Amino acid sequence: MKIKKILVVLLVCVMVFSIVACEKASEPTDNQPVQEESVVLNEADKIPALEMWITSQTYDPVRYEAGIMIADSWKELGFDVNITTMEWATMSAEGMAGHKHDAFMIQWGGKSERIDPFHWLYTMHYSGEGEEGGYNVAGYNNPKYDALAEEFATNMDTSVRIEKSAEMQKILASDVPQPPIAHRILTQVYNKDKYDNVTPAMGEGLYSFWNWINVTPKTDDKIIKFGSVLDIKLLNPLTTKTGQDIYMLNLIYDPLVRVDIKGQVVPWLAESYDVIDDTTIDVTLRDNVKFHDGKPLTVEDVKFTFDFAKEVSSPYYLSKIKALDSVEIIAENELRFKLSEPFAPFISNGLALVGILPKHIWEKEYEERGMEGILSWENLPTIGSGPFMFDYWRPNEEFMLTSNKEHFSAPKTDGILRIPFTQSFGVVQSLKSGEIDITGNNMLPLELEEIANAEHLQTVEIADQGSYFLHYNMRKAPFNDVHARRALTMAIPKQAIVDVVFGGRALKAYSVVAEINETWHNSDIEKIDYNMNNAKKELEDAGFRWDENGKLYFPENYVPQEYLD
Amino acid sequence: MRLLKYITKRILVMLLTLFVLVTILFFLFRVVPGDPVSMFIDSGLDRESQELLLKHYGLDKPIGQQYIIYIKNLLKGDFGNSFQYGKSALEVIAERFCNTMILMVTSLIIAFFIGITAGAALAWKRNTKFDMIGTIIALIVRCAPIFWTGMILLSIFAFKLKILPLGGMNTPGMRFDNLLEKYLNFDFLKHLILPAVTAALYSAATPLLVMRTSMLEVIKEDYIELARAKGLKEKRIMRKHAMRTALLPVVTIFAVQAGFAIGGSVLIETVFRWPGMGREIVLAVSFRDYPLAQTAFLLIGVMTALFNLIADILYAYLDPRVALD
Repeated sequence: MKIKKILVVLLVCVMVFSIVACEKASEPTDNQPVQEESVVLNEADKIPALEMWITSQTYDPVRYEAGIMIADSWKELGFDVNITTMEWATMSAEGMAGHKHDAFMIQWGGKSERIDPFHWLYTMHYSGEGEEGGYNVAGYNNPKYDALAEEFATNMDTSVRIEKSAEMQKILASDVPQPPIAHRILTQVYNKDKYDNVTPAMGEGLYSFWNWINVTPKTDDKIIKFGSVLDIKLLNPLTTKTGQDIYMLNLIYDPLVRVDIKGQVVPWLAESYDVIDDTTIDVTLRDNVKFHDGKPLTVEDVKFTFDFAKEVSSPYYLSKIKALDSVEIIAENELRFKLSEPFAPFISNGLALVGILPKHIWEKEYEERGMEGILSWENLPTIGSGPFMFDYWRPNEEFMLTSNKEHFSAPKTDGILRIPFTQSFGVVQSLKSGEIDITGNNMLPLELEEIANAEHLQTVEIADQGSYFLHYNMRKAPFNDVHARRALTMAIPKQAIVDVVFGGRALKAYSVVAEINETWHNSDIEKIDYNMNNAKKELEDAGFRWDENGKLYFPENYVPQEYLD
Repeated sequence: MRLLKYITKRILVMLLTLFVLVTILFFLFRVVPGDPVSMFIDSGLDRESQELLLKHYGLDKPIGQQYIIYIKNLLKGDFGNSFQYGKSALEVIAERFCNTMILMVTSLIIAFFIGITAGAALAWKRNTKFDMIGTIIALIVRCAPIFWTGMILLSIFAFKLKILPLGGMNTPGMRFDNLLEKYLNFDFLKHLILPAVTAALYSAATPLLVMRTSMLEVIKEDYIELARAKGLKEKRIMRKHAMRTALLPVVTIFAVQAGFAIGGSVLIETVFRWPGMGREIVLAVSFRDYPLAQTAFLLIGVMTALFNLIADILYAYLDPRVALD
């Protein structure tokens, strides 16, 4: 009883003490800055706190850790920064689509159709793409840049486009509407005792179409087992929307042309193609191509595919062939594509992504299902003309493709057995145990340590042409000021992010078009890197002011300068 | 008659509960920011294509109208098409539900078998070292995170000893002509062992502790003394006389645990790559696949409501005073 009483008294004492202490502690800090500020700087000129959105650590450790590092660095510069952790779908809706953000990071994938830098230079930075839902997330709106972008988009002459692209990269590197931070070095693994000729491609790594065509078995086990943490969802090319579905459909359906491993367009179902003028392309079809059900693939199927995509408003195909006006059959094996306006990437980003559908199947299904029905049709078994044929699929369990030995570019393997995992831990263990032969996962440093002793495993590396971007919002202050953006960018500790967050498995990025993309990359640009002194100087020269606590204020009689020139 | 009236009343209440649930689910998922197309940014769909997709999903209409359409379709038995898979959400869920049920029912049977026998044994040897150590082990297993237990078992039986598979439901590359063939084979059983045991270890502690407490009460009863006085063997008294009586409270918690089991299967399914419903629900929510998420949660709701109804009716049957209220 005595002890209890003493405890109660003690507890009361502690509570009273802490309340008093808190009050005392909070009093001076509440009043002090107000007094000081009112003397020197106007409270209204204070730069509002920046909101940095990050994902949870488990969802993406890169965005979590790099986001915090950047925010800390900005605080050092005198900005107030609030960090908010968000679920990706929310961030995507609010930031990517709604453009309500201040700053957040996303990793833009380096798929093969982005080797032609239309996505990086036009879609992400042209002013017309800055409306709600557009991919010009920063809201970049520079008339000088727009003029270059229009020329870049419509001129069919590649050398002119490369020239414009170089100039555009230069402007972006200095204006930094949304700086790229780092390109990952994709690190993937396969079983070298069983397979040879594994071919990672720029941006897609081992997911690349060319890997599946080239990989060669060394033993009698010719069905390659592929592990991935993501599963496919829907094999309907009209409505497909996830990267995984697209990779698989790419193996089952053949487009007229493909983008090869170096980023060059090569004829595929087309024997050849001819750019007649800015809006006319003639295509000669390859002979003796058959669908997996044995029916021949003709110009009728090609014309049907493009017409059909328009008729049913296929969300995926339409986004690729917006510039297409009409397709005509001009000879037994020749077609003419008419564009409604000149659109330079039409071949690499349009024709290369539209797999040719068998008319006899889709016409019949369309009759039965109607427009809404055809868009959500499962499309099983998936019949195309590609080098791999659909065999069976048990969602969340496994997906089997067998090789089309009659294809003009027949694979060396007998098929691909694709196994979806729930976590990369499972992929690593299954690689070690030999249950799977190859993975498309990007291995993290810890996982590489785990497989270091497995002698049958080989690591392949290739730099990603996609990168992590930090998206600012130029619709809001202080991001509407080029000097503020440059200073904020100079405060991004790129090297530390590469070393700490990526464990060294990344390259610092300066241009929105990656260095590995040799055809298009411009290295003669301003390379803004981490330098706090330069960042402070940039702000000082533009007239920004600091108070006694080191907090930043807008310049006097402030008019933001949006672009360098 | 009274009982019949009571049952009708309970069923009506259940239907009303489900209707409220359906409504809450419908709005809950749509209130959260984000929509299904925001998850497909990476495939580079432009604005117009995104709008086409939203229209295709019926999400371009005002939310009130969407709700009316949804309820109308629901009454016709149409749960809507999954945004991710294109096909009927009910069909997608049904396949996964089957897999989850097989795993969970197996694990519950193991759990209650372990729980009841061990609980009875511990109570019988109360206040001995055996009792103390047994209870502590049960508590430790109960407190350990389920994925952790799973990983430990995996590393022992799959990585080190290599006698059980790493995960999945079948060895990759097997073909089946029909569903029965898929489940009725030795390979499937081998894949079932680790996840089922992991889940069982986790859920065995509750029946074990309840059984132990209940046994301790029963042991004090006069008829146990009487049995002893008759000179019956200890084992026989424990099994035939004590355990039977002590079982009643354990049976009650079975219903509760069954409800939890479906929801709690997410972690097990993730660790063991089990193609079940828990995993699908997580994906559906993060992809904003409203029809699939709504259907899955509705199914869980229906199951819980049904179990409650059965429990209510059983209580009324066992104790007629309940029906009077």
